[in-house]
Amino acid sequence: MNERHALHRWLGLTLLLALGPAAAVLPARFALLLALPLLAAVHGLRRQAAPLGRRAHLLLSLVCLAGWAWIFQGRWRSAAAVIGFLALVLALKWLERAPQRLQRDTLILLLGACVLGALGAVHHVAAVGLAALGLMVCALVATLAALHGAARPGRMALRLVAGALPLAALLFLLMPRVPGPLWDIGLGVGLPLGLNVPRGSAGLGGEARLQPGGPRSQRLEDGTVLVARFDGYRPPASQLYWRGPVLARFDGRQWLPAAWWGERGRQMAAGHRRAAAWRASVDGRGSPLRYHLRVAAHGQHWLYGLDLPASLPAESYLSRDWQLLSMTPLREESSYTGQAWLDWREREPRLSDADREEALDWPADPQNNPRLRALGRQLAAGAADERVRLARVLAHFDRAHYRLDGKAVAHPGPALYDRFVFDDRAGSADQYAGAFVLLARAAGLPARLVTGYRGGRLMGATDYVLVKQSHAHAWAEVWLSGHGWTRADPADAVSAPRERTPAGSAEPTAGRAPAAPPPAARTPAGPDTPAAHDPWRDALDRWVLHYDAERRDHMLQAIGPLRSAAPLHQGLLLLVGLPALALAAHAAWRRRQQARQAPWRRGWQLLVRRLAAVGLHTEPGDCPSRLLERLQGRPEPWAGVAAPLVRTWIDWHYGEPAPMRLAPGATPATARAIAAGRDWLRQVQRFRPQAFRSVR
Amino acid sequence: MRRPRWLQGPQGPRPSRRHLRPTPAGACLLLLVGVLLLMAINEANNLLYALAFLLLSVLGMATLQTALALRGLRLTALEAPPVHAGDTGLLSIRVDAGPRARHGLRLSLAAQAPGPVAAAQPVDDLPAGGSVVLSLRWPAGTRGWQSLPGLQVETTQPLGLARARLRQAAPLQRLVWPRPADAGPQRAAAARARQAAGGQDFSGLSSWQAGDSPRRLHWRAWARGGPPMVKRFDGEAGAEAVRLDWQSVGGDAEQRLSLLTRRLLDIDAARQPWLLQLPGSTPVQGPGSAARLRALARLALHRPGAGRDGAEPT
Repeated sequence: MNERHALHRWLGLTLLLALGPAAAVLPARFALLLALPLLAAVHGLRRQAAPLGRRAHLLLSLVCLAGWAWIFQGRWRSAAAVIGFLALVLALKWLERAPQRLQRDTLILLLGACVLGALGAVHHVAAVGLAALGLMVCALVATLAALHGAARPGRMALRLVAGALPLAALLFLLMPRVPGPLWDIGLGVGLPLGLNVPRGSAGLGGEARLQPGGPRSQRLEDGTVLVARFDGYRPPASQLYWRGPVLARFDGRQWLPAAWWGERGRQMAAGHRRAAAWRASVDGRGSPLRYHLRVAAHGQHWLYGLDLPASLPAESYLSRDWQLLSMTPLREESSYTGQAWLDWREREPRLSDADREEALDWPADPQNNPRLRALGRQLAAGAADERVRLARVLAHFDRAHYRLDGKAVAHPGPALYDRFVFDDRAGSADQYAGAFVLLARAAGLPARLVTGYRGGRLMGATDYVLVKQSHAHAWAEVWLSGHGWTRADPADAVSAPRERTPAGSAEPTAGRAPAAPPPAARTPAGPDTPAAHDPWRDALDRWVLHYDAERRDHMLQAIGPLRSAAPLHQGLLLLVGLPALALAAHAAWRRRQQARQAPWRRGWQLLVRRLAAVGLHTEPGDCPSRLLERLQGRPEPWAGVAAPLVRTWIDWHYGEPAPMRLAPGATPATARAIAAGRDWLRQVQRFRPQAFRSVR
Repeated sequence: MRRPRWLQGPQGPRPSRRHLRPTPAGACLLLLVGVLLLMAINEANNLLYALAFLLLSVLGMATLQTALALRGLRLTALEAPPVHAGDTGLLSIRVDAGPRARHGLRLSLAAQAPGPVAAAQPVDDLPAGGSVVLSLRWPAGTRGWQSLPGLQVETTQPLGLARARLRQAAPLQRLVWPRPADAGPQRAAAARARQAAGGQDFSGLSSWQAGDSPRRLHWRAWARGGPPMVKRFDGEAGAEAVRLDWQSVGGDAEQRLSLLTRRLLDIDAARQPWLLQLPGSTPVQGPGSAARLRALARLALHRPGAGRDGAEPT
């Protein structure tokens, strides 16, 4: 009975730890709901009986279900709701103890715990989650050991997991990182698969308005929005800005496009219908990048040209603010071949007064983020140069300890950006971009908000880049006289060094201006500024949480045989080499253990062998005392050395008690016996009768 | 189907065989690891990679420990007393732990043993270097020599994720006597009556024969230097020895052997003299435990068609 309670406790602990990674996703109210089954369980443990009768269990299940439905009202298919439901089901199942199906139920619950932990880990990658998962595996092993009748499951689990850790670490570090998702591999090799975007609101990057810090799509799926194939050079993902809606107006609550956006005719008239028209006014560095882009149907006009488009696909035009737009809404999946300059500058940048006014507009409303406005003015004070002002604005986000948190949801209301910049200090990329634009405007810099997608998933050895909904991004553009519109991405300024890609650390995107970037704009935001960071956390981030293919390649550079091997060969080497290595290590460890545990037996065999070599044979069944008698009858000098050795062995072998024959434990008598045995073994090893003979 | 000779190796079939298989629980966990890896690749999520690889390594370590749990273990079949066909006899086995302590092993006969499956015997808490003698139930087959199909020991220690099995040939044979025919009611009653009536009053001495009980030896006569003599009691010395021969019973060969066995047992239990004469073999004379064993062995090993059976060939 007691053992079963131990088993249930371990099982409960496993489930609780499995909830660890998901803790950040679940609302606090959910903890109260989950406490119900836990309280029932504690109650049951105290009574040493099944915690609940069938009726009470049914009632509790209904209450939990109702509570779940209430908490996740209206978003039952969200990730948090799914995780919460699974957690509740597992907790209720845990409560129901059916002794006749103990083995099966325990196994189901353990597997469920793993799935729960995995779902949580998908949504929140953090050190806490890693620790929780590690402990969960320990508890899982302990549960299995308890189920299997181990006397001390916890200790056994620790030993097993500690033994498994090196192997797991090697596998983790050496596993080739296949760029996923797996169903994207088809897209990644150019199979004609349709792009599948979940229906619903397009969200950031797909709408001509932006609610700052609005709720993100928290669904489990993440649709592919764009599939790009590059001819020749494929740039690093962090340099890919897929330009979507440009939002220049802020009405105090949300961002809206420029005033002329709704008037299609005016827009077309003002934009460029022929590529030559704007290619003449733009200085692109090098030859333009060629790419082929598939755009999922979204029902709007944007073609998401790579910043900055150098050519026009058929039936499209480039708006004044560099949006690549289709003549007709994209109601079906479309594709086009485009060109783009990643590095460019305008030859003679000009900003009309109307545009400047719009880009500096700040609705006069006392509730419209007054603190932010004051900060902007303060930053602008004493700095006539626009670039110095830009640098100061960027530096504010770098120095003031902000945290990039893609899941943070801002509560709408007045002075939203004030609250974000001065109080919360954590938010998603679009909040940073919005705050940056407002701050720049307050500092007298014309600025606008650009939304779209940034980056993409590079597909292994192919030329494909897949852009997912989760790559939705917002950044800012600032007007610098003499340079024109200059991109500034405050998300790069705030992101801690650990969140940057290792290779990306060489190229700061913040303030990376088209052509000759203003030096002042780059330096303060540069990631080279050493931040006070815990080196342990940094290492954890780099080697575990955000370990990627790039870092793996860097590491493998150091290992000769793996350097040039293809991924397949690496995988094979891994599959064969690692188990062999593990087996060899285990054999060595085992031999050491045996040598430590059985000195008497080993010594005796050695002694018999050595004596046989000089003509004193012992049959396996012979009594050792007979050997002693024979030794005493021998005239050779080695007989006098061997006799006490044999006597000691006889004393041990027939002595009472013989602690060596017990399983090794921690009793002092055993330890003494082991030490004595090792002593004796050393003496036997030194004893060489043949050496005596040669001396004679 | 038998393997060709060249595949069997120099010593015929291998003396011991090891199996290592995942249990259903282990297979489920392996499947889960596969799913986790797919999820990890899909999401490019390092936590999932870490979880999957940690589980995989734990699974590997547990499997390794399961495999090692049987290493160095020695099984020796000691003895198996003869038994009647259809009965279940005992087999004593010595288990030597070898270099490590053993827990949670299950010892049984190798699975190919005919007849009902014998229950496994648990081996627990055997310290390193220790040994233990266990008895296994071994169901008897048909009469004659029955060789041990081999011994099997298996374990799912430490976590029940993998099952290691060691099958070891054990060169041991036991004799299976014919199954005694069901005792008819009258015959059994008669035997009881004979047993109750006879055997108490001393009636004389007769010369000693192999198989006679030492308790009946007439020590004084022997001490005087004469040939060994045994005491005879009423109801046996005087009675004519019951002849148990092929013609005294009916049926086919096996039925006859079965009936003869039954009568032999009954008569011997009543300590009446008997004489067993099977076609093609020398007669055996009883009573006495040694004689009974010899006679049972004759019955067990009787070859159908040997000598002049007088029965239809079977």
